Amino acid sequence: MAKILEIRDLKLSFETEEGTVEALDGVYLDVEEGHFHGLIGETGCGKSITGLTVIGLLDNNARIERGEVLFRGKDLLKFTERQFQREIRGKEVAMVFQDPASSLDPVFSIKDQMLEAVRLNKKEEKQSNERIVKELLNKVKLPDVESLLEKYPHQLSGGMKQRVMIAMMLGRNPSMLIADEPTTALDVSIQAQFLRVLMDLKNTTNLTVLYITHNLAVLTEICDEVSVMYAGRIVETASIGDVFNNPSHPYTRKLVNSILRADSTLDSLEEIPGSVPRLINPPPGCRFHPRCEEAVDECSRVIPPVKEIGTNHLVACLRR
Amino acid sequence: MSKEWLQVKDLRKHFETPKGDLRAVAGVSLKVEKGDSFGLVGESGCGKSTLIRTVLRLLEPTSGEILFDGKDIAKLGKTHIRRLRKKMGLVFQSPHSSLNPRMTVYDTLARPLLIHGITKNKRDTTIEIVKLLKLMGLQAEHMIRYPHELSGGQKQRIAIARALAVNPEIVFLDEPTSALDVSVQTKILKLLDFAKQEKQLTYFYISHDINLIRVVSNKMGVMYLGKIVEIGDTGTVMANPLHPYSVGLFEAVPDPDPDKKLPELILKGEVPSPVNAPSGCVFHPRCPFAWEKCEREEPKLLKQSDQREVACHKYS
Repeated sequence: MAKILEIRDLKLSFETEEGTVEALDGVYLDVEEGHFHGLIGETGCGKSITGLTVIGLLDNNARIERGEVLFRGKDLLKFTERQFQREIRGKEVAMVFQDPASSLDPVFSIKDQMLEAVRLNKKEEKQSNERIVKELLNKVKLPDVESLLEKYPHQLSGGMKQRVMIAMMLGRNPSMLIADEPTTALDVSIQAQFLRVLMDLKNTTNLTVLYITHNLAVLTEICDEVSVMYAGRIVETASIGDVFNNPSHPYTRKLVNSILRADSTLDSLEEIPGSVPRLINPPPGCRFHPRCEEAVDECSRVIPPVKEIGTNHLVACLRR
Repeated sequence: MSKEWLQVKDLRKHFETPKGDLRAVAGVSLKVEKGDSFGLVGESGCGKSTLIRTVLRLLEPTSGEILFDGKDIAKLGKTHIRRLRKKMGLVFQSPHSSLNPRMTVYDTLARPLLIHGITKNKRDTTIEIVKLLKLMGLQAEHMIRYPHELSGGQKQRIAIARALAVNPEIVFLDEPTSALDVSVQTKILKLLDFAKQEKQLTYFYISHDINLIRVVSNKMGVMYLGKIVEIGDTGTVMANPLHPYSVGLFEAVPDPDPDKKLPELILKGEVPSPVNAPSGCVFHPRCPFAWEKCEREEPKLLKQSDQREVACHKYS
């Protein structure tokens, strides 16, 4: 299997009034073509920033200090905005955000917005473009496509809007989709419908998905591999089975044991003491060490390198 | 202690909209016994938040009874409501917006103490606040902080401390952890459980998170479009839900087990609008078992066993 995306030692910071936020610090992430790769972490860990870097949508105050973001071998960090627009965004990599309401234009009908996306692709007859739009909307299992086309975003529910976003994205036939918390604003029953649309794409296309979320349970339903992110670094990458049944990094272990499952009790749930550190002057060494039960002196001095402890199982912890 | 300690009878809360009446709470009856931890689950817009706000008289009920400690609080006047507020606490979903950013933790916690005359002077107030902070696993030094100096989890602990300050008998918790990260969620749940034992409280949780309700409650209800469709012992309902909506809702919850494949989807389509809700059983347009009677006649909550009641024609 070829790697479609390779992030190497990415370090990125933001200048703010309060100081420099070290948002990403040496991120390594490999995504295999055709796989669904989960990126999980808590608020502020840098998971969304990682996604935005790949698609070239970082804010102006972001500063890339070092590293490479290789997409099919080409370093995206060297791309100009124009190159991103022409070669990457939409065409190769698409992104779906948490709030579909703000991704759609409120003053255009679904038809107009869908047609625009399809038209970008290639010049074709108006009629065939409309046919393509209908096919796309059917693909994401939206009911009653005919009347839907004439509607405006505010007339759709959150789940429907999110599926329109997916249809629009498919219209340009990209190789990779970055989904940033796409179901967080949705109800569980709508989330379940949305995940099935994604699963369907997984089974019928060669789409690669980088699925960013804070919800581990969602990842288990659709992902092949998972990378766990903490305070700007990837601490563990493994198959979804290993993350659950054989987590290695102390943070991953705690995280897995803190999610509510069908058989959870208040006693079985683990808590992580303290809270996520601020990334202005983050803890030295391993950024998890102040909250880690296994931490030794060395952990506060040395940044743990990434080690391979099993087949495709990477961990960044000095104690492993 | 009377068994019917908090009892809601056929409570309704309708809102007028240009398109017609929005029946947010459309005839809800439930009982909470002292010492219970009651959990109400439902998806957004099902009326769960409106229900507790109506029970707390933050919203005026359209009709129905709310019996609390033998009195019908649906009909109480303003002065009596204030006395009632002392017995009922409320914790909101987001501590980021429920705490006043211009008030220190001390001010936030001192306010209910002074308003309800629990402490009379500064010394007593401070002592009481330190006790509350300790109960929530915080230190006295947190007293002088402002909300922006606290983490999300700490803020929510302050919001809980504020609700507990007046020694309420029952605390309503509206999605108390859904604005927080998973790593702090456990801490909050454990602190709430500890406070419940310490102060012999009764909890009324509402959440969209089925697994959360499973962990924290001993009695639960499932709400759909303004109505309770199933209610009973948490263990019984969770192990074997009867109402088709409960079955579909529980099935839709992502299962954190990588070996399990996606189950067949039961809940199709979307929740209809509570304005002009479907006739008969409100769930019938989405129900795989619906027949003609469901369209015509509204099912009543009927006892299936000592542990549960279900509102479904399939079980009547």
